Amino acid sequence: MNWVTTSTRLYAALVQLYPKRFREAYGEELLQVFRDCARDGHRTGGVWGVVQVWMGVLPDLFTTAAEQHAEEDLTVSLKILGGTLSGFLVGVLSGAGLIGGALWILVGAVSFLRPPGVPGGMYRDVQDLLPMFFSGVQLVSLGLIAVFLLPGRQWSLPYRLLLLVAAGGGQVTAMGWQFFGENADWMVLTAGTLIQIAGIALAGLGLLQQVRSRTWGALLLTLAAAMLLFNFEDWRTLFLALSGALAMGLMVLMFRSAPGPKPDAPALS
Amino acid sequence: MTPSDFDLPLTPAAFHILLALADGEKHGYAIMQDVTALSAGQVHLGPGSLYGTIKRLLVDGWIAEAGERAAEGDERRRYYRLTELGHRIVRAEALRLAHLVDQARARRLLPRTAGMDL
Repeated sequence: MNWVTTSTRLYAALVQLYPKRFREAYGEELLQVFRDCARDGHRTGGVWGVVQVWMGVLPDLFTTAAEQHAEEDLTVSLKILGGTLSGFLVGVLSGAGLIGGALWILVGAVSFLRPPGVPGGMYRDVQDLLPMFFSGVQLVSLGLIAVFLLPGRQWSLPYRLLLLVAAGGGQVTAMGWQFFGENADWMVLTAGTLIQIAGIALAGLGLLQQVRSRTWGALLLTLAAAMLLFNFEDWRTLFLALSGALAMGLMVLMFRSAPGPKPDAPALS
Repeated sequence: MTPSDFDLPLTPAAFHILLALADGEKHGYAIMQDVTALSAGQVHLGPGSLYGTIKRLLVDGWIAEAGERAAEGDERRRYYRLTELGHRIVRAEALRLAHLVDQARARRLLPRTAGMDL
C-alpha cells in the first residue's frame, strides 16, 4: 500500500469541505503541500510519520474549512440580506430560526429535569424530549439554510422567503403542537394545514433541485432522513420528516457548492 | 500610510509567513518549512492555515504572486513574494517585537547579551 498516494487521495476528498471559491483558488496548492508533507513524513518516520502528518492536518482542515465558510458565505449572505426588503425579512426569519431553534433545543434538553417532588407544571415527560430536540435542530437548520444558501442564487429571493415562511411556519406550528399537546389540535388543523402543504410542495421542489443538480449524496441523505423522521401512525410527522429532510439535504448541497461573487484571490491559471 | 497605521501586532501566522518571504520568493511548501525552521519548530502551519493566511495577505496587498515555475526535478508551483507594503509591515512588527525584547532585558527577564541561554 502506498501510504502517500492513499493519503493524498483521502485529503483530496476532504478538501471538498472548503467553500468552492477557496477550492478553486487554492485547491491544487493545498494538495501539493499535503503531498509534500506526507512524503517527508513517510521518508523520516514511515507509516507513523504519515499518521503524525494526519494528526496535524485534520484539526487544521476542520477549523480552517469552518473559517473559510464563515468568511466567504456569511459575508456574501450579509451583503445580500442588507440589500432588499426580502433579504431583510429573510435575515430576520433566519435569525429567529437560529435563536428560536437554539432555545427550543435548550428547553427540550432540560425540560425533563424535574426536581423530585415537584408536580406537573411546564415540565415535560422524557418521551417528549427527542421530538422537541429535533424540532430545534430543524429550526436551526432552516436558519442556517437561509443564511448560507442565499449566495446560491439558484432560487429567487422571494421564493426563498416563501420557503422560509412555509417551512419555518409549519415548524413553529409543529413545535406548538408538541408543547401544548392534544389540547391545541386547532393549531395544527387551522394555521398549520396550508403552511404544511406549502412546505411539502417546497420540499418536493428541493428534492427536484437535488435530482437536477445530480447531487445524489444529498438526495440519499434527504430520503434517509425522511424515513427516520416519518411515523406511519401519525400523518402530521410527514411535515416534520420533509422539512427536516429538506434542511439536511440543502445543508449538503450548501457544502458541495457555495457559489457567489468571483474570488478576490486569482484563480489558478 | 505609515507602518504605525497598520493593525499591529500581526497574527503569528501572518508574521511568520511575511518573515519567511523576506529573503526571497518561495512556494507554499517552502514557506511552511521556513516557518517551522524560523520558529525552532514551535509554529507548524497546516495547509489550510497556510493558504487561509496567504489569501488574506494577497487581498491586503502585503504579498503578491510571483508566477508559476518548476524547480529542477520538481512539479510546477506557484511562488509568492513580499510587496513593498508587506516589507514595511513586517519590519514594523519586527521593530515592535525588538522593543519588547529590550523592555524584557531592562526588567532583567532576559540576559543582557543576545544569544545567551536563559
